[in-house]
Amino acid sequence: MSLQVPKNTYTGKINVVKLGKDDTETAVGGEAALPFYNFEGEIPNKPIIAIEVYDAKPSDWPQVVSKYYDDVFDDPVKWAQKSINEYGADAICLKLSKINPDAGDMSPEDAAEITKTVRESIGKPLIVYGTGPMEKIAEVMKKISEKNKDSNILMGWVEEDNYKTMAAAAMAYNNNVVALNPLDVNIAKQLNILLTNLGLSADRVAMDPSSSGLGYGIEYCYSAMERLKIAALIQDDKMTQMPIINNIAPEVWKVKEVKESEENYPRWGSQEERGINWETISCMSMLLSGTDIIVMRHPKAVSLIKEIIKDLW
Amino acid sequence: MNNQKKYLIKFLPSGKSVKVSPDYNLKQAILDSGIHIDSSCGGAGTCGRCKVQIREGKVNTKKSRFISSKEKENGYVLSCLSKVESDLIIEVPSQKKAGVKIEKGRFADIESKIYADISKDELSAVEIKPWIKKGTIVVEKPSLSYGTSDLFRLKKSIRENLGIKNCMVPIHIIRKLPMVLREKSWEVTVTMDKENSTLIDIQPGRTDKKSYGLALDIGTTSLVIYLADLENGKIINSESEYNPQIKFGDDIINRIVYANRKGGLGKLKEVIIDSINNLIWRLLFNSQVDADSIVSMMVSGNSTMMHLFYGVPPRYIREEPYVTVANKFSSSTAKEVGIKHIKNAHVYNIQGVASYLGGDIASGILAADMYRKKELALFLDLGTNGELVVGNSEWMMGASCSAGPAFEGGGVKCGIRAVDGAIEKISISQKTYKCQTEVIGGGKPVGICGSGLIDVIGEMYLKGVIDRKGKFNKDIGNKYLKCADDDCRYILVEGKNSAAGEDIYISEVDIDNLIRAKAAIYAGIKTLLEEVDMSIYDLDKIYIAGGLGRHLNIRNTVIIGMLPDVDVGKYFFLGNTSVTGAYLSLLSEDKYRQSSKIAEHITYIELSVNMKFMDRYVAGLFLPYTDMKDFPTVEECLYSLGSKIKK
Repeated sequence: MSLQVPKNTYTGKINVVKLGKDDTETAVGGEAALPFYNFEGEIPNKPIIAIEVYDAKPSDWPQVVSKYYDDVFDDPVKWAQKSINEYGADAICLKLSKINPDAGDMSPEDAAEITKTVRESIGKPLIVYGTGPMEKIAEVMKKISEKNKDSNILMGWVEEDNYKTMAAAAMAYNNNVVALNPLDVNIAKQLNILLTNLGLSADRVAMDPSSSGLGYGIEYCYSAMERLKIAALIQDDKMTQMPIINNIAPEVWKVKEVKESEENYPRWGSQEERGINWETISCMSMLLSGTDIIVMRHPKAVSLIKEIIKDLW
Repeated sequence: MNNQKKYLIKFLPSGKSVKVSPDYNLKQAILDSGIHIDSSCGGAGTCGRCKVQIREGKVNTKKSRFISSKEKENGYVLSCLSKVESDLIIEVPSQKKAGVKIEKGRFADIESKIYADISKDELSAVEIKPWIKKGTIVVEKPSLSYGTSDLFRLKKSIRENLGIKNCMVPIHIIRKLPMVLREKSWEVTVTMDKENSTLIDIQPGRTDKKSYGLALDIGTTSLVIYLADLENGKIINSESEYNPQIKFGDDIINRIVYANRKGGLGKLKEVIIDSINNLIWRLLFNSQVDADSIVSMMVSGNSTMMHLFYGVPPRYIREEPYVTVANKFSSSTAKEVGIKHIKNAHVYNIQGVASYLGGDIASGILAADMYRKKELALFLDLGTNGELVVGNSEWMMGASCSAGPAFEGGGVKCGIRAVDGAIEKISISQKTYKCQTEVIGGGKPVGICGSGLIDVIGEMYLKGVIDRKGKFNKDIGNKYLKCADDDCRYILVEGKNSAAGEDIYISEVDIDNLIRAKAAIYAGIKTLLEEVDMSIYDLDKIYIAGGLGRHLNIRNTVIIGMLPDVDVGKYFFLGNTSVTGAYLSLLSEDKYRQSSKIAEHITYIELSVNMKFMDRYVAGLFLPYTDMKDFPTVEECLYSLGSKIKK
């Protein structure tokens, strides 16, 4: 007797969000089955890896990862190009740390200029995140969207305090937004409802469920993401059908287990190896949970995850 | 020995003063002086209501987010976070204090048709047969050959004539017994407590002196009392008052915390008994009823209130696994619980179900007559806590959903209880966003009560003043929306039209509190029904109890997602059912026994540990609900209103 593999049928499908324009255009989402269940439904687009690029040299990176970017820290354009050409990033996640009123209070115009320069120099899709108060982020993104009109960049983040400005910025200039929620299906839905009620098309939204790294509640992140995917695919809930993006790199590289040197903790072994493993396992877990875009940092972790994606899809 | 330094604190504008030791808590000093000061958090520094201004002197105070930097400059502090460090002159801002006319129960005011008449005929159907039994008997005369005691012969006569065996006779009656028996040649009228086989009163001869009883509801927020004629059931008079314990905390948790402090329980009991004494005195005075003719009092209230009334420590109600000391307290004389005026009357209480489902709910089920009907009903008491029971004559399940006091005016800056001066109805103009209000009593408005608050949220949502998250839409040209920094207020009544001369408004924080309260209620309903594998559509009737205001607009409660979206005809608003049930129990032995059966009959479910409850609660923090499928008619209504809402 031959084995009959039991199969689920899905009524819903994740939206396809287009990142980038023309030759940089990349589709994310679109899956019609749970992650790895490609025998149950079509999974047309593989998850993509975005590598972080900052507008200033980060002060809190351990040497074991910063050494790969030492020569490009002063120039986001070079940094982005190196991430793509040498480390194989599918996209760039530009993080604007200087717009924070506590860290330079850079003007929206300047931020928009940097974003534009980076976008035009990379030939890959661009994700752009702000730091600081949500209102300031929205104000900056408005300008960024205007300066990067019709280029399908993905802008973060949207919360209930700034959703109106963010949605308007995306709609007016044909760009996309990331809706941030605190690991909660209901709040994710509420934000998506608010955004789409304003007239923003659902396929211009990605969700970030604020997942943590390994050892810091990643099981709960799995559960929250799984519930989002189940609602989207099985219950055909339109307000959970947005692709998921995980900003996992900063979560991994801030924990003690990764930041402490081998000198301080000889039994923990090589710090670099530890960091790579920590990031790889965290990202792998996110892939299992159904992520569509993953934001990474260490080049070796990136190459491991790329291999895994290639093997499994 | 006791020569420790004392500081003199003078309070303005009242002119009262009090002497305290160094480092004494300022809020406690204000309370000690007898001045009323609001404090919904019970002195934890989290409600910001006990703000006072230091005119002279020094205090050691802690930082608070409720004191702006400008206020700090002007000497404002939270009194609960301040310690006295010198002689002081303190300005205590006058508190919003409305009249004390609190909503009374259904039967108190039948003519005004306040409440739905679901059982209008019920009163006439109640057999008036209190377990207080009165009878005239003739006691055998003693003789040389029959020389038994007076008491023995009285008991014998009671047994033979009234059928009560082993009757207990308290000492104060024995004291007057020889005179009373002989005054009208051994004929006496006795008043018996059948429940406990105790003699309450004895009068010489045949008297047609009437007997009266009291029905009392001790709510977390208000007290309501009826004086009733025990022969014909007529309500002679009624009185009501705020629960004086409010100054020690708005909700039961804060009261329990206060009761745990040294002397706290005694203080809470003292103030409630004082208030009840005061109410009884007013009843007696206004109705010219003789205090001796009041033979019984029936008390209903939630478990915490009953513990505090009887002076029993409520501490374990709040600690896992949340148990009461007792759900029903043994009956006692009024004197034993500290009630004056009617010392010999017997005091009974309605049995509760569990820590967070008290006698007030059993009383409510009794009043709604739910326990006798086959149809499936939901009973919902929207008091300070928010309790619900689902079931019918065969089974009942109950839960408590800790909704908080928002619909009773707590945690809402301009919120007040349903008293004279409260805005009970509101509509908003779609063009100008101006509010139309209706005020209880017809005078100038003082604040907004529960029904008004429900209207505000519903109307603001429908007219696009707020979004589904409860945040103001600032770009719609609403000139009644005033924003300063992060604080936005929607002016409902301008200062020139209000009683206090100040704007009556609602802020985003207020809206947030109301949305939390409504989310808890709906999550409670949905979760409780699911526990018994039923849906809202299985319900035949939904009874709403509570002092929200007379004109509760059911449609608006559905629009804001507080109550299920079912046929409005299924809803019945009953007002204060706790006092109604107490009143029925006072009149009828049967009803009283039934209330205990109801309490034993209800299966209690703990929602605070239920994951699904939490999930639905978060889904409810949205108007009307995250999943619109639950509110189809609201969705329709929004479609017909068109794009305005989507903005």
